[in-house]
Amino acid sequence: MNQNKKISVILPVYNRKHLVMRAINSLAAQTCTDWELLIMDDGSSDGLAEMLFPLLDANPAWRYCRHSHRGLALTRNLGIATASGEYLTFLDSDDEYKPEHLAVRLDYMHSHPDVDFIHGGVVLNGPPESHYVPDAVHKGKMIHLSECYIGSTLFGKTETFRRSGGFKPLPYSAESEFLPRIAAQFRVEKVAFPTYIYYTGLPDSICTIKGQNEGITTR
Amino acid sequence: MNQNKKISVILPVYNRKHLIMRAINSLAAQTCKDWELLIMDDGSSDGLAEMLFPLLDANPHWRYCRHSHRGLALTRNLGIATASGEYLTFLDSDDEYKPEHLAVRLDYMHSTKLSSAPSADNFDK
Repeated sequence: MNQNKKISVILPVYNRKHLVMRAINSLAAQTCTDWELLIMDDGSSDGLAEMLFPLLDANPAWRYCRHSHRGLALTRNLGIATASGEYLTFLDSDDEYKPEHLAVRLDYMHSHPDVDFIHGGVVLNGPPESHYVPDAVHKGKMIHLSECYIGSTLFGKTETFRRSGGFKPLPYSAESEFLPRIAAQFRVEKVAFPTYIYYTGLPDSICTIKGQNEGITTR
Repeated sequence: MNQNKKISVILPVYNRKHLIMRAINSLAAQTCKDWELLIMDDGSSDGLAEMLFPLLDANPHWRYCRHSHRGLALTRNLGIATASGEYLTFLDSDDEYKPEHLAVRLDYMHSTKLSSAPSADNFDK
């Protein structure tokens, strides 16, 4: 088979041509270089593919996949199904990693072989009022991101992700269903390494749109 | 996970924009409908992707994947790695299936417990 990398990084993207290179550049700058990048295009129409294709030619560790538009959860699942790394994690198109993001998580998994999944470790970047997002459990309420599951920080063995059954195709915060479900079957730990830069308050973010739709954009 | 199809059909392609629709149309015409199509683009530069993307939107069980050019074998392997069907087979970009192609093979696999390959006598003469 193809030579497998240690970590598959799944980057789901939909019409974020203007932002995705910040995310990809932060991956390229990782101290751990044993990764493959799986760009999962959920049907973008903004010229994203045309921008990426020449870069694919120059970067054999990148792969581009595309299907008809079906939302974040099923697009993440496609990444889980297609990953060839021993470990798997995510990078959202509007976020970025600090340089040690992958290295500290890989070290943690190596030194805690009984742990199946880790999550957490975000640095919030955006206006403070945008750090509150619609609560997936209590409809109509806002919740601070520090109390939320941030699905893109999930890190675990690819095989374990596959056994988990992946994300349910929920329109908002599929991780709020995923994490409690897998915690019943696997050992899940929240880690504090603050290396995932989570951008808040973007006009096209899923959280922002959800808040606007429910009329609860401010706390 | 996503709803899985019975058969994953892996179609590796490199600069065959002018031929690939014959292959894909022969898949669309199969009597067996329980398949997903995995188009594995080995770095084409002939406008193939631009032709295919609108068709992907209309066909949720098609998927397009692309990597830097590395040849047929590794491109087939990518298809093997990414397939979600219970069974897996191939369709080259310059070939086509007769309508019963998938159905007779699936029937054969269901009707025999033998794990060994069929003898040469079973192949078309």
